[in-house]
Amino acid sequence: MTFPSRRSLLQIVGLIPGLAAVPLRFGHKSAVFESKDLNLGEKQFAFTVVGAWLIQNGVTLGKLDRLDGGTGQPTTDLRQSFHADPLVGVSGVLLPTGFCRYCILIARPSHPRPPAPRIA
Amino acid sequence: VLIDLDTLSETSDFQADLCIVGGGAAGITLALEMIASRKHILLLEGGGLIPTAQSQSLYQMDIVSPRFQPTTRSRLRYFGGSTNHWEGSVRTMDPIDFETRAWVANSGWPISHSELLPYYDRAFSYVETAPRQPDERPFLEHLGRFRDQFDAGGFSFRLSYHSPPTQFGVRYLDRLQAATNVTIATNANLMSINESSNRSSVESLTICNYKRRTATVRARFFVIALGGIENARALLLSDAVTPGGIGNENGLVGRYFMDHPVVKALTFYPTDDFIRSWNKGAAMYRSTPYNRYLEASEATLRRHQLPNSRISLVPAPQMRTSKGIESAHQIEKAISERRALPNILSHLGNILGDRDLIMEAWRRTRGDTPAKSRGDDYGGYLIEMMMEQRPDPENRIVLTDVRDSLGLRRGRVHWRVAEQDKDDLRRMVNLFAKSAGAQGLGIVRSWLELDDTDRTFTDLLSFGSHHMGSTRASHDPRRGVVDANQRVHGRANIYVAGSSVFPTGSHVPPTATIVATTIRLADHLKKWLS
Repeated sequence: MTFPSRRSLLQIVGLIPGLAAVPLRFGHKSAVFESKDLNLGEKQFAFTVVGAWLIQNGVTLGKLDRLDGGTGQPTTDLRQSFHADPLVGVSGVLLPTGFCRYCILIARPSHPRPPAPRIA
Repeated sequence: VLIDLDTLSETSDFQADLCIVGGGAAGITLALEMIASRKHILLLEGGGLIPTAQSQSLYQMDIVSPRFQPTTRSRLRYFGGSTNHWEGSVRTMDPIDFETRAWVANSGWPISHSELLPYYDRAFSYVETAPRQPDERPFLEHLGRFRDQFDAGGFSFRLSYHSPPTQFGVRYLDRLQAATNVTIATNANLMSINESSNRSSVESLTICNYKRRTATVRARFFVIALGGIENARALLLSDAVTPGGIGNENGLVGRYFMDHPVVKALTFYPTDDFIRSWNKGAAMYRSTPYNRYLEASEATLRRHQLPNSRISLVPAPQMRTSKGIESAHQIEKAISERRALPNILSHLGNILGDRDLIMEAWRRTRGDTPAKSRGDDYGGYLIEMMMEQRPDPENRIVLTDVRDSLGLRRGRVHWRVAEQDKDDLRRMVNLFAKSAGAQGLGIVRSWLELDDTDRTFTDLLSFGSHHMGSTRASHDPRRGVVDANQRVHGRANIYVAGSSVFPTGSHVPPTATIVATTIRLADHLKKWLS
């Protein structure tokens, strides 16, 4: 997989749900939860970036399992995941386990891939 | 009538119907309330009308705590007391604060919220913020869907008044001096409270001026209103008849001491919509001094078995919310204390990411401020939580063997944030993060997650400097020092006024409640005096 430049990466990650975590890292001005501007491929790519960031910060599927007992279903719906799942601290940012599980699964090609997100 | 005890060539003894010891918020309120009674009131103030080093140094205490504000700085010892430097935030406590909560050990007031409400009405005129509560409706309507979303998530927006702030000494001295039945004696330091031999009542007080000339005060009733720490110390010091001090038969005097820890808990990154709405709300209230904050709803506190806490939203520059700067502090502390840092790689990564901010912070400490920099840019809403501390018998005021300049045993404060309090904070932060995330309002970065060296509860901890609980009220003498009317259990004529009688402290700054409970005490005393 070829990574884009940091600038173009920021433009993508600042726009999709769940990637509110990454803007924090780079000092974006506010959290963004919704965007309909991205197509399926771009969203999938952005989730992959978040997954890579989670792995880089020591979040593993095993850690998520320990936190939620495996109950947090992989999901791209951040709000629903915040509602239903316990939180995991990722470099201080508190994110729900179900959403993190989705991002990690999609970032690991060797793993069975979760279903693609539906675009509203 | 105003007497300066230091200027009297010969001290004479004093006689009064009611003697009030302490000229702070409680003492002055009580004296004002008693003017109409036409009984002779004597108000004793240990300091003068202006601050002096001689008086202030008597507030020096030993402190046994990982962090606690010096007691000579958090309090003022002259007429008006600590109202001479308070910030002025006033609000009633919540109904749940008065309840016996199964999940908060030693909670429960001997009076209810509804019982105190009429006294709050009167109290708010003393702090010059009548009526009792701000009209929150325009503010809440303005917040619109955000209010509903936070409500759905279990948190509520709240407003509290801002008093001018009223400095009781300055504001009410003339009124007290004009009253023919009130005598104010300044530079009158309490030396001991003298009990009858059968311990049923107090016969007199011994007071002295700064030249160590003593006098005796006799009265029908005595009220100790010296503040959240000194009330306990005064009772402990008076141990000539009752070993351990007046009212200390069950070893409770000085215990359950509380403050309001203010914790740098989290940074909230709200959506742009929310920020716009919140800022418009600020503009709406610019002409009226209100504080805006969030608190967990009563249902949320019950469901999650949490004590109360206040969540203030303050926009902060990146310099204050930088995790790289915090990580640098973590490493510095770990090195200085020779302790392991479990997440060292994560901290190094944070430092690398914010290396420009760290350099800038270092340059600023040398007085070199760049004209424009990322450090001043918006960095989220820094949330400092004012926590309700669980009543803990190990947090206490005791006496040492060291004597102060009057020859009295100096006090020592034992204070800590218990593990359960820390756990409460973690749960509250998680709850807020879940609530905000589930409602799509923003996300949260927890400072506790970055903390490997307990900096949150040491270096970063600040205080409301609201000293409470050391002579707590309860119907049961085995659980409290004073009864529901603030009379010391087992004594006929000695009362305690002020925040030391609070069994629990809520998150609400205590001044309004001090004044309200004191007005209630005044009504009680008026009946007895007549």
